[in-house]
Amino acid sequence: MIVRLTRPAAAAAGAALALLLAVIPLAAESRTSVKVSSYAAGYANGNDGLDLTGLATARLSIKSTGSRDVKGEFSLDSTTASLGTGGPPLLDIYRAFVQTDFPALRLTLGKARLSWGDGIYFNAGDRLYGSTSLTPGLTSSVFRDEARWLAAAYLPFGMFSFVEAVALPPDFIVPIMTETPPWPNPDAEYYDITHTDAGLRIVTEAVNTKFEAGYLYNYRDDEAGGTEAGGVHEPYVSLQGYLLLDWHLSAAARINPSDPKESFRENLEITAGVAHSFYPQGAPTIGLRLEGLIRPGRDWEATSYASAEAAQAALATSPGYGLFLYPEVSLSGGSAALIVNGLYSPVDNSGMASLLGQWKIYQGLTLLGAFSFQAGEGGDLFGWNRRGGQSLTLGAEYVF
Amino acid sequence: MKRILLFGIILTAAAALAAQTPSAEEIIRQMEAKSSPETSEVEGRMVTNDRFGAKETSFISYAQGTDLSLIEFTSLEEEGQKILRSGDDLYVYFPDAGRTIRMQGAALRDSVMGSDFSYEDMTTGDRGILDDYTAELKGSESVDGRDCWIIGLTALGPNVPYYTQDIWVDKELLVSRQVYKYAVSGRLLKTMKIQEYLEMDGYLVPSRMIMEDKMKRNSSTEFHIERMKTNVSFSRTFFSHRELSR
Repeated sequence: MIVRLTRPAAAAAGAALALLLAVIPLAAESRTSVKVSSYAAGYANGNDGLDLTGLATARLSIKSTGSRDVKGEFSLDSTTASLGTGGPPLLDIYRAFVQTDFPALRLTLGKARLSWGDGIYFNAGDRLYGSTSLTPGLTSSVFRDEARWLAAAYLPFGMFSFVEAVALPPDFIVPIMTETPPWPNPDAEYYDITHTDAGLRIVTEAVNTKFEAGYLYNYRDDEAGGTEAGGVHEPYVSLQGYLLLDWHLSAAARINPSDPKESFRENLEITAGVAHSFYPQGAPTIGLRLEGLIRPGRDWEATSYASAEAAQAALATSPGYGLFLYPEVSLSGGSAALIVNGLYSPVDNSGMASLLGQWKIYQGLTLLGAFSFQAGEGGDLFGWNRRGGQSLTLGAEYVF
Repeated sequence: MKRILLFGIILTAAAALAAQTPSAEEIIRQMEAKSSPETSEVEGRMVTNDRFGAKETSFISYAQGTDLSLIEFTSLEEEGQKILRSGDDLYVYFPDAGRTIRMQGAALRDSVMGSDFSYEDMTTGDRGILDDYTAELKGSESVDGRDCWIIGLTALGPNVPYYTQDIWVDKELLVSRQVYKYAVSGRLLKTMKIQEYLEMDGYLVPSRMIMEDKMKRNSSTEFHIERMKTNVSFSRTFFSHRELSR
C-alpha cells in the first residue's frame, strides 16, 4: 500500500513522525534507526538528450528489543523523487509486523517478508513476490526485499526442517487517504477479502542438499488468469547444494483451472544458477555467478518491437522470451566492492550491463556509483537508443 | 670410564627433560580444554581499522561444545544478521531479504562484514584442531615477555582454510599468545595476537585479540569480549534454523 500525501498532509505526517521520534527514547524496549539514501542519476532520454533526476529516501525503523519470544518492527519509508520538481513525499510501510515464538510454532502477523525458493536474481520458487521479472535495477545492492501483508505459521520439525503456511490478504487498490478532508477516503475501494492468497511450503535437508517444495493459491496474478471467480494454482520445487560449485535449481508452474494444460505449458518456469568464489593471494576476492530463467512454453524466436515504448512496456510486464541469463562478476576486498552484472536475452541477442561500485568508507556510510547501458538494436527487448539506454547513478546511504 | 659415566648422565638428564615436556598434541589438547567452556554467551565487538579510520560491529555469540555456535550482530548497520555453525555446516541469515544462505566450499573464506576475520575464523576458533591438523613441537620463544612453546600445525586434508599454522602457547598458562596462518605456498595469510584473557570458572578465554589479514593493506581487526557467561543452558533446538530466522 502506497499513500501519496499532499503538502499539508506531508507536513502533518512529518510533525507526527517528529513527535514519535521525540517519544521513542521513553520506550526502553525498542531501538530506533534511520537510513537515509540519496541518489542522483543522469540518463539518456531516447531523444539524443540527457535527463537528470534525483531520489531521496529516509527509512525510519523501530524494532522491539525486550523479548526473545516476541519481535516487532515498524519501518516507514518516505521518498521524494525528482529533486528539481519538489513533489510531495511518498510514504510506504516497509515493515510492520509482530512475530511470536510459541514453544511449538512461530506466528507472524503484519507486513513482513518470507523468502521462498533459491536464487539471487532469478528464483522460480519465489511465488510470493515473483523473482523472474526483469524490472529490478541491476545497480541495487539488494535486488529483492519486498514485503506483503500476511499471516504466517512456521512449524519446525528438525534442526533445519520446517513447514510454513501463509495467508496473504489483498492490498488496497486506491489510496485510503484523501488529499482534502474528510479522511479517510470515502471512495476507497478494496479487493474482496475472500480473494486471499494462501500457500504452504516444506523445507528439509538431506545428502548435503536443501529440498523445498510448496504451493500457492494465487488470486493476484492477473497475467496467469486469476479472475473474480478464482485464482491460479502455483506449485514449485527448489533445490540448493554444493558440488564443486554452489548451485540451485527451481521449477514452478502456474495452472489456471479453466485451461490447465495450456496454462501449465505457457507458464512453466525453471531457474538455475551456479556460483563460486576465488581467493587469489594478495588480490581482492573474485566472485562469479551465472543464473538463468527458462520458460519452455514461451517464444524462442525474436520479435521486433514496433517502438522503444513497446519494448519498454514488455520489459516492465513479462517479456515473452523463453530464455534469459544473469551473469555477475564481483571483486571485493575489505570495505569496497566492484560488481559487473548483466541481463542477456539470447533469443534476440540483446542485453544490458552494469558496473556497480560500493564503498563503506566510514561507520554507517556507503558510497555508491553505477553505470549501466543497454546493448541491442532498436526493436530488441534491450536497445541502446531508448530512455534509460545509458545511465549514470551516484549516491550515498547512511545508517544512524 | 669417566666418559661413559658422563654420557650416561647426559642421556638420563635428556630423557628426564623429555619426560617433562608434553607432546605437541598434549599441549594443544590442554590449550583447547583451558580456553573452551562447554557453553557460553558472549557480548563483544569487532573494530576494523583501515586507512579511513575504524568501523565497529557489535554482536552476541552463543556456543555449545566445539561445533555449535550462533552469532547475532547487534550494530545498527548489520542488525539482525546471524551466522549459525553446526558441525561443518554454516548458515548466514539476512533479515531484510528474509533469506538464509548456506555457505559451503570456498565461500567460508569470505570476510565477515569487511573485517579481517573470515566466516571460518569467526565460528571455529580453536575448534577440534587435532581433527584437522597434525601437530609438531617446533621449539620455544618468548612472546610479550611470556615463555611459549611454538607448535606447528599441518593440515590433514584440503578442507581447511589454512594449510599450516604456527601457534605460540604460553607454557605456564597453556593459552595461545599468537597464531600465524599460512597458505600451501608458505605465504603468510593472517596473524592473530592475543592481548588479554578473561578468567571465568577456571577457563582463560581470549578477550582481546588483533587479527591482521596480510592480503589487505593497512587493515587490522580488534576483537573485544565485553561480557561473558559460562554454563548457559540452551534448549535442544537452539542451534537450528528456527533460532537463526527468529
